[in-house]
Amino acid sequence: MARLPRHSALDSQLLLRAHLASEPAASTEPSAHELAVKYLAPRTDRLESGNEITVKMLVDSPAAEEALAWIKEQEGTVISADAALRSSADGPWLILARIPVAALLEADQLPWIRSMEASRLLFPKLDVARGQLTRLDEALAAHPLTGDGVVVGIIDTGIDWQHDDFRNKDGTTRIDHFVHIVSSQAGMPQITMYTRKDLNEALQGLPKGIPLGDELGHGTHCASIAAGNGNASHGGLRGVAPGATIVAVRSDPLEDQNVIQGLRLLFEIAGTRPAVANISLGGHRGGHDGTSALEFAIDQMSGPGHIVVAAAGNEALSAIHFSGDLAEGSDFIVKFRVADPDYQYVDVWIPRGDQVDLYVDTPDRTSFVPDGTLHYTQYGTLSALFLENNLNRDQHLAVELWGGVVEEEWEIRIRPQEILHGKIHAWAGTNNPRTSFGLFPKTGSPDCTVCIPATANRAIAVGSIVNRNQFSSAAGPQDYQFLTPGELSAFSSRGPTRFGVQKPDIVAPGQFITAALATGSFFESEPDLESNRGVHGPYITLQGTSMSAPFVTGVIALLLEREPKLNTEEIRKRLQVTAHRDKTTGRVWNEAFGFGKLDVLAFLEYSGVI
Amino acid sequence: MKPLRSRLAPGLIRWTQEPDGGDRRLVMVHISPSSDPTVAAAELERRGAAVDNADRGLITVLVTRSLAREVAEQPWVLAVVDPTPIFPVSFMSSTPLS
Repeated sequence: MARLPRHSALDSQLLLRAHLASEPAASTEPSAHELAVKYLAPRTDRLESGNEITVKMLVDSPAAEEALAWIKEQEGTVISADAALRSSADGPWLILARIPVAALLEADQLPWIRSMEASRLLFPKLDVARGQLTRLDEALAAHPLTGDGVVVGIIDTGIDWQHDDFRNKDGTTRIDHFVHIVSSQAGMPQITMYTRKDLNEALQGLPKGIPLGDELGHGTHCASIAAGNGNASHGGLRGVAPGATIVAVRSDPLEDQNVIQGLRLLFEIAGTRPAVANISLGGHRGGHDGTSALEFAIDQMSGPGHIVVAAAGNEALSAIHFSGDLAEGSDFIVKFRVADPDYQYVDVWIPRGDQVDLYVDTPDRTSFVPDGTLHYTQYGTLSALFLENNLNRDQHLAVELWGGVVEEEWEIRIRPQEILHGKIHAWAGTNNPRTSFGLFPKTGSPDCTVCIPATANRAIAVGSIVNRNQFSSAAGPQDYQFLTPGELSAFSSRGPTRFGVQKPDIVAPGQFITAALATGSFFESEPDLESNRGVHGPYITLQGTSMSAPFVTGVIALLLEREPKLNTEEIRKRLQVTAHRDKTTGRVWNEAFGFGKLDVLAFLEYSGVI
Repeated sequence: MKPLRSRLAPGLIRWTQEPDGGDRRLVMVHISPSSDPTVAAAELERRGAAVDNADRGLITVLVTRSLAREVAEQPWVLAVVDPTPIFPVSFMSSTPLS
């Protein structure tokens, strides 16, 4: 290779490119084009359009016309040309042009060029999240961890196993196993496990019968945040732990028993390798006290090197929780609104020892006692059952309504007889996330809205803060200036749990996170998400604690690379002690921010000494 | 009024009382901490349940109505529950929340 000149107007990439292009071809050595593709493609624009390159030229103002003429002479194309500084009439001009690579060395000799650099594609990054909000990039500069040797498990809607962000540079897969669990109400679950070998053969075009990885797109997005390598964005949109091994579980349908199976299989597959499972799924059926099957399973399966992270929920503003205090001598009324014409439930939890009478009243105030009988009314079919829960020993009024009339208001009347404790909680919901809000329209409260299974004792529960308030999309720039990066997401579910356990644990960026878009998914085709889909490749910007949880999952994977035997309590302690706290977050745990905002640098540098 | 004492989840109580809704259901049996899951799974099989897997305190089985009632009455069973839907915790539309 020719010696590079000591002083040059060209930036280093253009210099290398220029000299590669000027070398004579050798039969045994790669061509200049091949070398340029190998070394420069990740950082410059694509080379598929032949031996041309897009450059930004800063030229002296008097020579602007001469520069434009030179570009034309080289058979290049001027993309734009304008004064670099509007405030200065004699200031330099900035010209964006496409010129032949072969012209680069000649350009270096032109006297009126101040500087020239390769144009770089810019991607909306996981950047604000990686920068000041969490100090992730600063942490990685000091501690070069990638999650190598750690298994990141995404138990979700699946993964787009063909997406470049889950493939190595040689095209092979980074996914260790893709597990597809299909269950039905009346049969045994069918579990199909596709190995790395199966996936690699499928990627090479061999018919392996592997289904579409992710029909919704949710699991793909989460996996990308936690462990994507950003291949499809030249590294710009890489995840937190791009060196981690991925295990993805697709649950069809999304049910707790499939998640339990998926968790078990994930930790079996991981074996002695440290593993962190991400569960960005949740619901509100249960006592929110750790006793449901999924919460129990998480508590049982977590252990040294086996960590579970769960999304806290997005229900702070959804009016799906209600609480109150019973007092002898006066009826307590729980009003709920019908939000879904198919199905709705209301669960009321009354402390053991409190003696009450209960009635469920239709909109026209016909009363039914909760004896389990099905009642067919003009307002829907009602089932109400009052039973003692054998796991937490509390009293549970389970109300279900099929075919309800939307917007009608029902009532649950609680008549206290003898009260020892008095505190009641109620959660309501439908089977359709799009209708599951406003169920306690006047009395719904944001507290105790952390969803199951984030309420599990050994789940790290993650709330959300705003990541960005503007981003580009296929539908144009999206602007949400009323949001401030770093502030708590209004939707982020609030704690504590029903018995006062401190959840969420921590908050991390979750509102407007750009990550992988699954091909063939709902997220790819849904018209209402056009303003979320990216302009640069298969990416989409989404919001929810679903997005903040995998951020923490990836960070824990980084730590497990270095300390693979840590258990949940140790990791939780580190998150608590190192979380960023200020006047906004509060100085102690609170129901909104948990212990504060994730601070990756402090977390990775924590030595255990306070 | 006194609450009903049953170790069946509300949805299973309803299923065991009604003629429709299928003859078999996949359920999770939550066993007491002092019980051995392997022994419990064998016992459930002996009673006619099809065991899918037994892990720590939870055993997933396919049962008939009568078997569900029978299992719920065993002293080593804490609860018999049916699968519960669980949802992605992200927004499926572009509408922001302030």
